[in-house]
Amino acid sequence: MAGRQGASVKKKVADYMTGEVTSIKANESMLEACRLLETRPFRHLPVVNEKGHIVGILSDRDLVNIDVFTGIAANLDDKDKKEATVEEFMHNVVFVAQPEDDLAAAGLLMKQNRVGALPVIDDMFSNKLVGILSYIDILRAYIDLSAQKNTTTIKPLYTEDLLNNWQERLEIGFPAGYREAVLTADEPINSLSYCIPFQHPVHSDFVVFARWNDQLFSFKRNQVAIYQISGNEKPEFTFEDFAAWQKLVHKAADRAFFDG
Amino acid sequence: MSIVEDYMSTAVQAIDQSLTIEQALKKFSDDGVRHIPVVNEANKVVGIISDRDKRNIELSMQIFEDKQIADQVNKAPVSDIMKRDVTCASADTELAEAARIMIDLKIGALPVLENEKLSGIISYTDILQAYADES
Repeated sequence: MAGRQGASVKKKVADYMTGEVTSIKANESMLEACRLLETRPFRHLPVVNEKGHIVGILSDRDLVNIDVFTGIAANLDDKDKKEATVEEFMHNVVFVAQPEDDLAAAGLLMKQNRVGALPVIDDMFSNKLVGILSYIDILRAYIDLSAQKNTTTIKPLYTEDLLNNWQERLEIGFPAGYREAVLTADEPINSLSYCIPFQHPVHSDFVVFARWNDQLFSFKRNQVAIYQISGNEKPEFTFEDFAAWQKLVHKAADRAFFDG
Repeated sequence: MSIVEDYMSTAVQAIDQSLTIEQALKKFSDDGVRHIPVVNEANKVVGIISDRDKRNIELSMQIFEDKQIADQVNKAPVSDIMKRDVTCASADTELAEAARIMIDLKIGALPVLENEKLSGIISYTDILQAYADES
């Protein structure tokens, strides 16, 4: 439950990197590298040795001096063009990340060094390429983070402690499924205006846990049941089972939204 | 949540649309900027050029290898090569929304407008910083 209290868990590089990364071998032809960079949606191509260990990187910005038609640097003579390999054009990799690294720190590394992507390696000794992290991945992480924060502010702050406290003070037994529903909901569950339980102002034996239009939905003191109260009228018994009740009213609410 | 205003840079360099391609491309050499908005005389954004446009121009120069054509290209107005449909943000756009636009349109920066006039630029590096600050 710790992750639901607004204190977000720090993300790792592994959470957002692309694991299945297209790479090219250092001894392959430059023509092939250009073809990949010109035709595929990515802008960075890691270069590996026979063992799959990172040895360099090519970016589409490196193609500045390369003839788009032959894929080979214009200033090489014909003999060299045929034999030009990736190795001759790649950059040495200076900045890398590891899957367990802090994602935010990896983003700052990119910003400070003006690189758009970091090859991800399994460990500093073997340099085995296991993925690539691009700035786009961190934009995604930022969007997720914002969505999570927005949700947190809308969502009623249900906690185990809070529910225990209310249960004790109001002497109610929560129906099966209620705790789980309010504690583990992925989305804000305020479409039916669930509220932190409070004692009904007129019917003191009833504890309101949700409201919708002029309906108050309540638990009854010393009972495990759900009652519906319209205005100041007499409470009507609806369900013993929270999940079944939830299903019914959500359906009714959905229908009302569509009809409205 | 952060908005564009919190992270945009306001010291934004812009290119007047009447500049030549040669004059415009020189602006990229100084400080490593990658996107420069193009404005008209009223400081309204009419286009944007990126260092990738610079790359494409340089490539075509190499291919032509003809001094006369190269001269013609260099002397042409920057409005001939700029990207015209520029997506902009405003200062109160949510930063997450700016990030979404950058991903969807595959662009690295958005000019920021205030009353239709250029007031700054927000780039992906600003969002890398925001992520570090907020996570």
